[in-house]
Amino acid sequence: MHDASSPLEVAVGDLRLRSPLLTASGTFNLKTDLTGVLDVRGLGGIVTKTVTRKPRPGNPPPRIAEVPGGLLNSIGLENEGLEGFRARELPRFAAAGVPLIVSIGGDDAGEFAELAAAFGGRPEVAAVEINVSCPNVDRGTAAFAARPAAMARVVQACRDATRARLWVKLSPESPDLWAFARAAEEAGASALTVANSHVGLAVDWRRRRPVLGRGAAGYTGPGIKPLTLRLVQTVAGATRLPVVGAGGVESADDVMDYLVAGASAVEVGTAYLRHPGVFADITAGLERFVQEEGIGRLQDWVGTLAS
Amino acid sequence: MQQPDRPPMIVEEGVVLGSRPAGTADCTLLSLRSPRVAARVRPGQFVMARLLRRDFPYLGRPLSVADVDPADPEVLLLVFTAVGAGTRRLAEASPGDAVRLVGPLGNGFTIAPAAEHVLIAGGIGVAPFPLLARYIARLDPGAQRVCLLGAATRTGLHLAARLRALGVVVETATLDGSEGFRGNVVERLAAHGLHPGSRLYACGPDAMLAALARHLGPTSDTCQAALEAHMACGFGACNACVITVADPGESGGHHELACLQGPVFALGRVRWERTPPVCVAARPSGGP
Repeated sequence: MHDASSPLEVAVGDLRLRSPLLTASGTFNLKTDLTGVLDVRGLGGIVTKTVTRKPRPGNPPPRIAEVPGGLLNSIGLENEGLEGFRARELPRFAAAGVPLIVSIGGDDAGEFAELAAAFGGRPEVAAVEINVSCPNVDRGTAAFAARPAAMARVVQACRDATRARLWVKLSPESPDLWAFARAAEEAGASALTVANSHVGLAVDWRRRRPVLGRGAAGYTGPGIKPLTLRLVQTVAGATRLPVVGAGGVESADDVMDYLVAGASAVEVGTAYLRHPGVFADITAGLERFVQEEGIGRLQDWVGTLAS
Repeated sequence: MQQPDRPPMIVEEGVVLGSRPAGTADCTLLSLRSPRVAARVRPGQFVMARLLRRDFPYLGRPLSVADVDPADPEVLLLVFTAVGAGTRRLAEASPGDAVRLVGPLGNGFTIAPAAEHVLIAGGIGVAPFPLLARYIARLDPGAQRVCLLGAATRTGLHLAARLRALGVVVETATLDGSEGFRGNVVERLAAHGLHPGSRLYACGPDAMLAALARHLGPTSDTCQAALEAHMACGFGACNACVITVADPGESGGHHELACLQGPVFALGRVRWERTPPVCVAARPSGGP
């Protein structure tokens, strides 16, 4: 769709993307025939759902609840594990013809390192996204999101295991996110994804129970966009690493907001669940900005927010 | 895995033609002009429906397609109860309102010749049955079609007149005895009896389907049941609508998605003890 000189082309470090639009982890797969709804080759890239060493059943349903500004989810990293993913899903993603970013998760640095090694060396994998920030699992994540040193040990273990591009997906719940960003940079990260789901709660007051079984759950959707946008600004100002924005993007304006605030590209998740045609709509909107407003190359807008 | 012959889903802007209570206060019959979805939908499939130009509800709601208007095959009929603010908003739609539809979604019912087709419905679970009854008449002409329609009380019995107009023998059951058989629809099925040549289709609350599975025993493998689940997308991306199913010889079972592998499952495959009942207060349409 877009040639090498497309004004929509951006770069995350040395990884060139034909569009700033990536799928967000856990919200996209190729099990459904998307003909006529989504031109996968027009995407900047695909970020897979998080893969763990062993298969995980995830959390019992219900796993989602609508709330103002989006939804709460508590999927719990359900996935078929490294072997199952490599055998059944990786070939399908590899055939999609766009940069593939494999999201990995684990309980400890050793598990992350094993996964980073397994995917990092494969030619069909453009980058590995290290998910140290899922709010819906018990072990590991809380510690990774609480202390920069714990997170950095994971990143360092992955770096020791592979020379591949490593994107580190940060938690918006972490205090002093700039400190996490710098720790990830020192540990060998190539880029930072800002950010994972915020954490929210829905209650059924009549039953005096949380709506979702685990209680707190990941909050995503347009309601978190201003919160995450600010985090992108903070992180972009704290490190030299490229930043991938993720939080409530559903329009071409949202994309430009993120780019100006410091993101080199964006991930779109909840908006796609709501409307599978959203990537086409956003792309058309960006092309309109280019053609009708003469905004030039998107790349040139990255990090240009006046201070 | 989706059936290979399933056509791709469509995103279409439907237009509301009319919305009216379907005989009772909490049940709505929404007719929409949606030519491309209407042309492709098969019995038991569903759509995600969301009013456009409204901030709420944010997500579409999964709704069974009840029928396609034989007089105007571009018109879809959706039948649902307003269980929360989201479905209530849909129920209030006015003629001319735009509704974004994603569909047709899921694997529907499989129809094969049978001496008798028995449609077992609990409450609003009757929703997919008019279209199913129409297809059975087309694919297995002359076969007996019976709908056993159960609800707590008579105001919960929906679409009986529409089914009868399609030539279906409708037998009602109410827990309070306010109409038809006094008792639940599984007890009504026991009274009806089953023949070796009966083909069973079921849709209703999880508790009803679980009771039906217990009643049928091994026969439940041949009963097709349409299940309900919380979902954000309807096309396999959100991974929310897991149903625990087990195949012969498999202990414990595995997850399949109500939206992709379902919503119709062989009833005997469903492991109810691992599939928590859908709680009305927690379903997406029960949100703020």
